[in-house]
Amino acid sequence: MSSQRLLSWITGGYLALFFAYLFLPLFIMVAAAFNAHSSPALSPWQGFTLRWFGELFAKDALWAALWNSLIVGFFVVLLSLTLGLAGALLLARLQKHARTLLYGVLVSPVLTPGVILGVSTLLFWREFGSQGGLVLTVLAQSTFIAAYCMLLIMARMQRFDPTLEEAALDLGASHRQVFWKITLPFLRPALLSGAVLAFLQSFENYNTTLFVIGREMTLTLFIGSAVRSGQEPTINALAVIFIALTVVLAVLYEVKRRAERARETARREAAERADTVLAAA
Amino acid sequence: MTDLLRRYGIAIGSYILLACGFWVLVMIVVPQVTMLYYTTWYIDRVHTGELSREIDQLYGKLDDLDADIARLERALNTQEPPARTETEQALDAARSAQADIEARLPALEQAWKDSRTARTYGTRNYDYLLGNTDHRTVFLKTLFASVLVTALALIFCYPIAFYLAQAARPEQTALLLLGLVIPYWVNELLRVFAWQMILSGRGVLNMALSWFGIVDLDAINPPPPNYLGDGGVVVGMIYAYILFMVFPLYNVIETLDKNQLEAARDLGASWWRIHWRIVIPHAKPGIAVGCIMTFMLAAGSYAVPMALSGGRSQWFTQIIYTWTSDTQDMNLGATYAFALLILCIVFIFLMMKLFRVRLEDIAR
Repeated sequence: MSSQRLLSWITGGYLALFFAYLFLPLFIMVAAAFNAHSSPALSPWQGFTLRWFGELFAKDALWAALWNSLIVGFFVVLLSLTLGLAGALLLARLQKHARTLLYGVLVSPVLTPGVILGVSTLLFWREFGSQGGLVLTVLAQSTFIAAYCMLLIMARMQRFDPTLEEAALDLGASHRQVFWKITLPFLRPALLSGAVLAFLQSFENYNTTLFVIGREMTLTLFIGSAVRSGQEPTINALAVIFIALTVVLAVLYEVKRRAERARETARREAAERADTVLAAA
Repeated sequence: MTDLLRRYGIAIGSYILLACGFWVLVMIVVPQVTMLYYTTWYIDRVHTGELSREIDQLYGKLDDLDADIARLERALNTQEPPARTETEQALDAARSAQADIEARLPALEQAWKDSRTARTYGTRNYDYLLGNTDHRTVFLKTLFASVLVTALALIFCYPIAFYLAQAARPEQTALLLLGLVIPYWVNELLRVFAWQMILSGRGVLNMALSWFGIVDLDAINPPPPNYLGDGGVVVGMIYAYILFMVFPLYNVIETLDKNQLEAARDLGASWWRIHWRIVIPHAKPGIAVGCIMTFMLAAGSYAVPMALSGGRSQWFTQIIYTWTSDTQDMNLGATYAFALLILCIVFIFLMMKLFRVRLEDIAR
């Protein structure tokens, strides 16, 4: 075999191995979710069962934790978008050193391990008597999630023409009108994707939440305590639900992407056809 | 500043400044400073213990005096003058001793209460951290494991990133990227839990090994080995964080001009030289970012050690959690967290020096 063929065989094999490695644990969890064994395992296989799903849904703690996760996620989205937008707008107006400094400070929570964010937030608010809870969780999570939102908004703002704002002001629009009718609508895609990203990041956050949650519980912490004991078989059922949701989302995303590509191609072809017609005339 | 107000007006301009101020100060800077401040003081629990014992002793004495007084009063009822006066004197002495103690108690109890929250300043936290050899071992273990995870992730991811960036067809690339990302949309805890099922004594790994006769799943004495512990944690970390190495590498290799590679190949360079002389130097920023992210995730990881250490070993983040939750010693917790922060900062600076990168990271 030529060295090229050999290389492409090795590459293909390596790729397959890599993907198998990534997906294997997921398959194991899905399979184990239907194993009637009393502790989570793939062997010994004691028969196919759906009972873990039933037991999972019967757990009150699960629903309470899910509700808390949703509430925290909602407020994290609000706070992160508010802060991220302010950060992006301010950074756009700053130059050189001030800009680099502020950018560094605002983005530093992303680099900081979640444990440290959690500990520092807990200690600070402890001075005011807080023992942890949902509010503290919203604050701690937003510290770094707002930075992600800010980055998304900044990326979108790069394509913004500031003269649009200036023209509107010259024509007599109030600052509020300019903001609500020009700036924000332009940023809407970034705000929407920021909201989705913020919610997902908040929902699955563990390290930071662990330190600031006090006596409450979010869904991820619920999973965490089950993982710690290692004896809770309903966790695999929960994993199946998560995986199924993820696959559905991925499929939807791919379908949407292909639809957009098709639309883009169709538009281009129509334009070319129009050009040739004009050229011939 | 005036530019900001001119552009957005007073109302919105104020919102921007206040929001940023709140974010920078109240959420980022001051909490970190507070954590640092917490490392400089401690609560003298020894003193509290001493006060507590003293108070208990005094209550004990009070009980004794109560018993004495009751006894003396009973005796009083059956006594005549000569013995009676003696008893009355003893009674007075007992009662005044009681009053004496009762006068002292409030102040002592207040001192005890205060000592439970009083801040004694000193280097006790750092002394403890540096003096505790077990914890020092754990710190070094966490450090080495994180470096190992980072290095292995880099080695495993480089071929994938290169293939996706340069060798695959565009349609294929999009699909493969999606395929890489899907497992990461599932919660890290759940994915790590799957490894618990793989590495445990009756887990999937041993199940596979038993098909080759290497392991007997039903053995009781000794039972089949489990792979949880330090090694298991490293394996789990590589699995959990490997994607954070792929994407920075992919992004930076993608910007490499294909023509350079073709030219090198035409000029007869071996694939090894192409990578070493062209691709890797170009990919330095991506490698730096990927290494930083992977290291930080590994060093600060709590879920993976919790799930896969099998109770056999302890990792640094677990110690921090123990301090802040079980022991409620916030000062030691702050000190240990601060140590972790210093470790991460040092690593970032090292990476930035090594690869000559600036703060242009985080290009997700």
